[in-house]
This record gives sequence, structure tokens and C-alpha cells, in this order.
Amino acid sequence: MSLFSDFIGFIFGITLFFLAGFLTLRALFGSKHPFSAFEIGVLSFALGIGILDFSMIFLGAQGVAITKATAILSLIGLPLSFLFIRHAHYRVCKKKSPVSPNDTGAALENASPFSSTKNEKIAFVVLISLTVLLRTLFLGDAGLPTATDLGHHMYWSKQIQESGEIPVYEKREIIGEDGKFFLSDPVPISDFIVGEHIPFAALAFFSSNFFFSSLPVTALYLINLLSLLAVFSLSVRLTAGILTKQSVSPFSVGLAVLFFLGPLFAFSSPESKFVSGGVVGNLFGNLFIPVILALLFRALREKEPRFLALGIFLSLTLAYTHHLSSLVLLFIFMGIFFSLLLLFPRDAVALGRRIGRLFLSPYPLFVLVCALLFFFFVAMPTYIETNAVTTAIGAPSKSTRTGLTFFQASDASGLARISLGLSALLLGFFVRKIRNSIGFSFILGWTGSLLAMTLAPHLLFLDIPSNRIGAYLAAPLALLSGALVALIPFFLKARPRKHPHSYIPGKIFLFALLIVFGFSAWNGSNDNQSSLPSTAKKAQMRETYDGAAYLASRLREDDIVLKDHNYLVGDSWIKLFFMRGYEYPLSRGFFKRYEDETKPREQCTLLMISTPNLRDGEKCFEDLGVNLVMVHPEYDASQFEKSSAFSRIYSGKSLHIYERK
Amino acid sequence: MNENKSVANPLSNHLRNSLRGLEPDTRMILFCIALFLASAWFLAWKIDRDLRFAGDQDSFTIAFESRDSRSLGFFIQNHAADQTFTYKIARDKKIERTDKKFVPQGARESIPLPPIETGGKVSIVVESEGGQRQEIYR
Repeated sequence: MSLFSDFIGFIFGITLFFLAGFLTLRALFGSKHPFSAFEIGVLSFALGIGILDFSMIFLGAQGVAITKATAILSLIGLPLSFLFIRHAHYRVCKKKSPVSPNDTGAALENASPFSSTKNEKIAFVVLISLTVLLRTLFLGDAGLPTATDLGHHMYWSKQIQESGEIPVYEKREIIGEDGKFFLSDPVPISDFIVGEHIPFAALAFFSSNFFFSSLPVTALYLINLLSLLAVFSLSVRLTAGILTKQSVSPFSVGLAVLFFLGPLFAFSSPESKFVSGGVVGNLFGNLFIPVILALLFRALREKEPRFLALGIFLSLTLAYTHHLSSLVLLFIFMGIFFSLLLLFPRDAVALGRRIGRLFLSPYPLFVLVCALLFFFFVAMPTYIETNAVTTAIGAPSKSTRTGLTFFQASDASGLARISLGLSALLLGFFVRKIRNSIGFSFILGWTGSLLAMTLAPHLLFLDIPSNRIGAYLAAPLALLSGALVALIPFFLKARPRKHPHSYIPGKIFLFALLIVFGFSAWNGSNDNQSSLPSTAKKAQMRETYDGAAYLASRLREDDIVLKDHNYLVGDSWIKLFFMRGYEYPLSRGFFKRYEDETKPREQCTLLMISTPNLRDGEKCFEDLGVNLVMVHPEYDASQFEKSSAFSRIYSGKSLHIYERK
Repeated sequence: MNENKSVANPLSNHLRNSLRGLEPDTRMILFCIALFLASAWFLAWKIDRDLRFAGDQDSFTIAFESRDSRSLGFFIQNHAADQTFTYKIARDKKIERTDKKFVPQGARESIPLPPIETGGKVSIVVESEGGQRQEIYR
């Protein structure tokens, strides 16, 4: 199939995700839904992912093959069923009473916080265009399918696509016993969760050359763009109840947030690197977390249980997609809970009753019951089955898990974002109208919990790489920074009332605004310039693929392949050519891992490439049956050339393949 | 003339009127969708081009056609601008045969050779016009 037909297939697949979510929202809220177009777009996609994941897991557990047809049926059939049930319910209710069942009695906010002036619309268009342009520029080179993490994830997606089954996440490892080395029986892998792979497998059904193309990275890029719109929408909703049109419009706060999340740090930010690097789970987390928070915020504020039901459903989707994001979300919930208690101590009982009433409503209860049945009778997330939770809780076991310093955190999140964000948080405590809003509790809980997890994980008994947690700070800090910057014109217009001596002339504020804007733009764009990728190793990547394809077409049943991870470009994608198991080919990992005393590992993969002609290396070759080796000639050719035990069967500028005689 | 214009542009008029009838945030979302589609298509085109052709213009690869330890037939996969290659077959470092092969850029050409009949290390060295050299051996 041609590039164009693959692209059209990809767009068709993406459209199905949006359609599934949109139909579900129609089924739940009817035609007069309380969302803006931005929220509809983001929510539809997230819901579509959830519907697909749970449908595929359920069908897989029942032994039904996962094919293009079942993917389409899941994405369209289930939402259409919801619509049919709603329609049938409406007809029954209409016969009994002329009042529409859509009306729960609660007054729902509509899309009016998203109303904007002409200048604001132009600003939005400019910001989003700049964001897309910068990301396209970055991904034009960095988006080549070479990233290690993406290669691992795409292996499992290809496995689903080819086998039609939900994969069993396991791998064989090299172990030594009684002086002999061999490959163990498969052991479970807790790092992969099926929700990260099903969407890509589904998209691969619509494009024949999905995996070795731009499409996996483009899918992640779309998720990243949607996460920006999610934070944008959340910021508008959170500030809608605090600001009035006379002061600053919520839409302009959203614009400021978009400025801090979009064009600034477009290249260096963790989110951009996650897109090119294929850190799938984190990107899903960055999308789902603000969407869930927006739904829960609206559920609490507008007392609407349908929002809560959607929030619970998407939380469960995240639980089946990424364990770290789920843990972060859990801590955010706890942070928000404590913030509400802190800021509304006298209303704690009333709030508790409101939350209880919401949870005990039909929609959330239905979702919770379905979730429990699914969890216990269909499938659990992999990390629950393998007890991986216990490895994340406890005292930090390595120096990289003891927390970041403030300056390390600002490296990850951007100095402009962290300084303005923390200033905004502090300022919020001093402005009564902001302090007394539920929106501020949400942002305080969100930011506070992440700061605690990043800077002092030992206080929360967390044993997780601190820089991974720090990456989640970007969204709330951008939200706070945007709110602070958007509020500056409000202070410019302020006039003295009771305290004339506290009035600061407008010119000074204007000067301050320019300083702030200049600092933010300099900090963000400076990072962009230093992060533009140097000349991509395109030829090396192509040689790796050509070599893997050469070997795959000539592989015998008993061949065992070993490759190097340190110098070969795109080496983790080699397994997609063989599809003989996650651990095939065997791999010489990063050198420092062989010296890690906290996690001792086998030495055979190191010895077989580094010293193939010495006794230890030869023993490993004999015991494990490795007979094919893929290495970079610039670093690893000489030791094989000296040995008479190897033929060189493939020779290129950046790849040699040796066969053991 | 004016009638012709309105007849000629009914689709654009209809499109314009439809867009005007939409909510402002819907129009902004449609703009985002159009922007994403353009960006995604550009990425698809560029990365496809890089996967096929881009990179080091001075590289070529050689490999044995068969895994059979006696087989010497090999191919040259050329990504370089140089298109004439000289190959030498040597047994235990003694050159037994030299020949040339023309391989257009982007193409792959096979060179069939008789199988190894006796022992010893047989190596095939291929050199491009620009002096790049690759070697395989059994």
C-alpha cells in the first residue's frame, strides 16, 4: 500500500476513536451537552481509548480474535448500543411524562466560559499554529522510528495485531546455575500494561506499514496536542468560577496557559521528548489526568453525577494503561482531598455529604460495579497480577529515587514555569476570592502532591525515579503560570480603594509584565534552540533495519541472535522483524548496568560481544547457542575479526553481522 | 458573468455559509484539526523519505545471499552516488578473481559465484569508486 493510503487508513482509525467517544457523550448527555468544542474533542478521544481498551480486553479474555472487524465493532457498536438504550429509555419516559429524562434537575454550566473576543481567537490561532509548527519541526528529525522505548511498545502492539490475542507480558532471561548458562522459563514483566498497546494495534489494522513509519510517533503527537487542549480547557473551567468578565476572561487564562505549555520548551520539555522517545504511558497520563480532574471538578461544583461517572471510567482506563500515572493520580486525589479539608474546614461535612451523594448516584455506581466485575472476573492490570506495586512503595532504594533538588526540578519543568507557578500558588493564598474557590483547592492539591512526590518522596514512602515524577509537574505549573500572567492586566486596571498607598502605577506593572513575558519567552525558546536535534542518524537506522530484514528472511528455527544496544541505532526495533519473543534477539545492554551492584545481572551478553574469543565468552556462546551477532563495526569489529570462529556475513558502514561457525 | 460566478462557486459559498453558522470554538477546533492533518501528512512524507533514501550518501552494504557456509553468492545494496564497484575474491589472502559491477543508487544487485569447494578462509572485498570498502568472509 502507498504512503497516502496508509495515511488515510491512520486518519480513519483515529476518527473512529473520536466517534466512539462522541457517540458515548451523546448517549449520556443528549444533544444539549454541557461541553465546549475543545472539551468534546479531548473527551471523545479519551473515551474512545477507554471503550476500545476494555472491549478488546474483554473479547480477548473470551477467546475472540482481535481483528480489524472486532476493533471497528468495539469502537462503534458499544456507543451505538448506549445511544439505543438512551433512545429507548427516552421513549418509555416520554410516554409516562412529557419531561425529558435528560434533565437531572441540576443546572449545568454550558460552554459560555469559552466565549472569546476576536483578539482572543486570533491569539489562540497564533499560539496553536506556533505549537504545531515547532513540534513538526522537532519531530521531522526526532520522529524517526528509532527510539528504544517506542520499539519495545510497538513490539507488543505488533504482537497483538499479528496474533489477534491479548499478549502475555513475559520474557526469558539468561541465568547461570551449576556453572552453566541457559535461558529461563518465561517470567512476567510488570512494566508493560495492555492499555498502552491496544490503541496502536488497532491503528495498525488500518495501515499496512504502520510500525515502520511516522505513524506511531504521529499518534503520540496527537495525544500530546490533545493533552495541551485538555489543560487549556481545565484552566478555563477552574478559573470560570473565580474570575468575572470585567476582570479577566477565563479564555484569556487558557491562552496564557497554552503559551506556557505550547510554544515554550517545545523541544526540551519532557512531553516533547516523550513523543519522540515513545514514552507512551506518560503521554497517556498527561492526557488523562487533566481530563479526569476537569470532570471531577465539574461533578463537585455542579453536583452532576454523570461527570463523576465519566471521571471514574477514565481513571480506570488509566489504571489499565500506565501504572505510574495511576499512582500519580491517586496521590493527586489525596492532595485535593487534603486541600479541600485545609481550605474549607467548616464545610468538610457538607462537602463529604455532597461527594457521598454523587458516588451513590446511579451512573457512578453502575460504572463502579462494572469496574469491580471486570477487575475480578475478566482481567487485572499486569502490575497488580505481578505484585509490582510493592516495588514502588517503600524507602527510596537508589540515589535517583531520593527526590530532585529545586534546580533539578526546574530543569525538568522549566525555570519560568516553576518560578511563576509557585508565585501564583503563593499569591492565591492571599487573595480571598481565589483561596475560597474549589478550583484553587484542585490546583493546590494537584501541584502540592506532585511537588511532594518530586522533592521529598521519602515522606510519602515512594520508591520511583524522581525525574519521571517531575515530568508531571509541567501541566499544573503551566496552569498556575498562565493564570498569574493573565491576571497582571487585572492589576494594571486596579484602582485604589481603602489603601491608596498600596496602589502601584500602571506603567510599573506594564514594565513588570514585559519583564515577565521576556523572561518566560527567553527561558523557553533558549531551551528550544539547544534542544534541536543534531543530524539524525538516518543512515545508521536504515542499515539496522536492512540488516534485521536480511537476517529475518534467512533465520532458522534454532538460530539465537545477539545484538548490541550501546552503539546500534534503532536496535530495539530489530525484534519487530523477528517476532520471536520480547527477549529475542538477546541484547548487550548499557555498560553501566553490568556494574550496578543494587541489581546484579548476567554477564554473558557483555562477554559474548566484548570478548568473544576468550574462555568466558566462548562458554556463553556454547551454553546459550548464540550463533549470530549484530554489532557496530566502529566499536566492536576488531574482536570478531581476530577470531577464527566467526564469519562475517553482512557488512555495512554501521552494521556487521557475524555468524559463529 | 455574475450568474456564472455564483454557479461556479456554489460549493465554496455553501462551505463559507456552513462555517459561518458554526460556533466560534467549533471553528477553532476545525482549524486545529486541519493544522494537525497538514502537520501529520508532512511528517509522514518526510519520515518515509528518510526511511527510504536519506542519510549518508556514501554508503553501501554487501552480504552473502545464502546462509549455506559453502555458498559465496552475494549482493551489493547501494545507497551511494558511486555506482561502479570493484570486487575481489581472495582465498587465504591470495586474490583469485577481480571484477566490476554496476549498481545504480538505491538498487540491489546480486553476484552469483560458484560455491567453496576446498577449505580456507574465502573473503570478498568490494570497493566503490570513492574508496569506500566493505568485506565479508567465510
